[in-house]
Amino acid sequence: MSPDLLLDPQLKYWVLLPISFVMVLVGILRANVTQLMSGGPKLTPFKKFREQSFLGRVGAFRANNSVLTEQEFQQRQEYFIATLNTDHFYSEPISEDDKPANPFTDPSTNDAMMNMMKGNLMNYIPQTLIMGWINYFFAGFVIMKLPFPLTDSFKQMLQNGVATPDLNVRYVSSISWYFVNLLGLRPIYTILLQDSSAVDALMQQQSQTQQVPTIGGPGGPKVDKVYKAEAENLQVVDHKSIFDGIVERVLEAN
Amino acid sequence: MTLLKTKLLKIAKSGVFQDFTPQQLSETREEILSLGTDGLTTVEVYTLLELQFYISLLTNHDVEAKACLDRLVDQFDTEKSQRIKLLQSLYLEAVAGDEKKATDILCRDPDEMNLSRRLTSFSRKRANGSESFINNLIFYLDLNPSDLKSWGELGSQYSKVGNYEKSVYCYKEILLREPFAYNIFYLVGLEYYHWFLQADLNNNNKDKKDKVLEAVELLSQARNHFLRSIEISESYKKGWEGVYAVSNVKEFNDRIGGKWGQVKEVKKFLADGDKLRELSKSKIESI
Repeated sequence: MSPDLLLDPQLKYWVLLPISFVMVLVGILRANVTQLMSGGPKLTPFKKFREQSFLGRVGAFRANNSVLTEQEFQQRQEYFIATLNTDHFYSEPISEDDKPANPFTDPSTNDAMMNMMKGNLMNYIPQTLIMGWINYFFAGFVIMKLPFPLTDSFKQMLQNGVATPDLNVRYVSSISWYFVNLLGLRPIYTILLQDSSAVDALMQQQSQTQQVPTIGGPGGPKVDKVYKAEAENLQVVDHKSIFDGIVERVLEAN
Repeated sequence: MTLLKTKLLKIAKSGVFQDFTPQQLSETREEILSLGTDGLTTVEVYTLLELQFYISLLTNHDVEAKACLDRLVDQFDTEKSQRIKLLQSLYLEAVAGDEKKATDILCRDPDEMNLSRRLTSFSRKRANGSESFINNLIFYLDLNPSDLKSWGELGSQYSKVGNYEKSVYCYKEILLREPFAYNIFYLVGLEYYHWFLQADLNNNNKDKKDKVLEAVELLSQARNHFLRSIEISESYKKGWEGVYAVSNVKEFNDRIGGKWGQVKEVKKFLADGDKLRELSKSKIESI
């Protein structure tokens, strides 16, 4: 058992609290700036929407055609197959050449990349600054002693930046305190921001698991192929009406 | 407090307040006013404000509606939000009575589907109301083929002008999306029943066999749909009443029973009708 270190009580007021305080403030600031910088959700262009919407209608028909009678089923099946084979609902004319479009000239892709870059910047700049600040002023500080015992495996987590292999694990270094704050401030943000979705976004940014934006890569199926495939699916749909024998079912159940 | 909040948020989300009775509306309004904003998140506060706006419009509290609208407009960008534009246009139509301005707000961006739908509904008021409304709805549904609200609206419009076949088609479109919507099954049954009455009324040659079979077919379709609605929800009283009504068309039953009673379809129909009449009668009495 190593003897106790004597920690200057002033460390608490001039190192421990300021680091926590700055971390909280920067977190809130960042949440607000991120919100300002991210534009609102974009609407899908109505032609594209129409294309999808019709496909949705066909899908619903394929899944739930049991609510139709035989005659209605036939009528709709014919209509859908005929319509799927025309270009009535295509959002844009289909070009004949098979060359896939360059995804980087697509404005929606650019938007997604821009958003990702903004998010990354908002993440890295403040983190670099705070870490630089701590390393500059408080490098190698041991700033507090935890009031409870811990096993030795916590050493790496709590004593980052102090090169003392035999120091009791209960002592925490300044840079480790920074990391603990970085990952553990969620309850404080939840109280201060009162908006759980913003907190989620903030914590997700901090844990550095960035979502990869969906970039419409080449080779996405063209709409005419999708429609043709759907029409072929419809040819083989099996129909069984719920109205067959419904009288007997009800009479039996009651 | 939390329960009240959850209830109000549910009302706001489901839009069920549109079918409220005046008394329910005024009760809901009192509840919103009594709730206050303590302990609500920002999103919840503005959702409730939107609800308050709708309800004050419905209960003729114009000043209050204006206050809600102003608070929402202050908070959100009116150029970017469809929802706010919708509210503004509603207010202009309902209180200021300025239809031109109300439609202008809706016309700005063709991508805003919700606004296009509302734009469609304006033609209802024109001189040849139903017809142009139906045309507009068809146009809108061509743009957005999976909009259930509009299919429902188109169905009820067709029903109004007596085109029951098309009306059934529209309601079926809803059922394809929501196969357990028992109230829609009831509506379809009702349309078939009306269709049957219409066909029977216009039928000059009541003794032809194919006409009789057609009528029997319509009536059994109506019966099947009513039965499906009670199969999904057993305590749905309207559904049972429908079953009772279609199995109790006395004059028609006597007529076909007399002459066509031995035809296979008619025979089965009449036999089923007798059983269902008893069953539905006892069910209605017990519910």
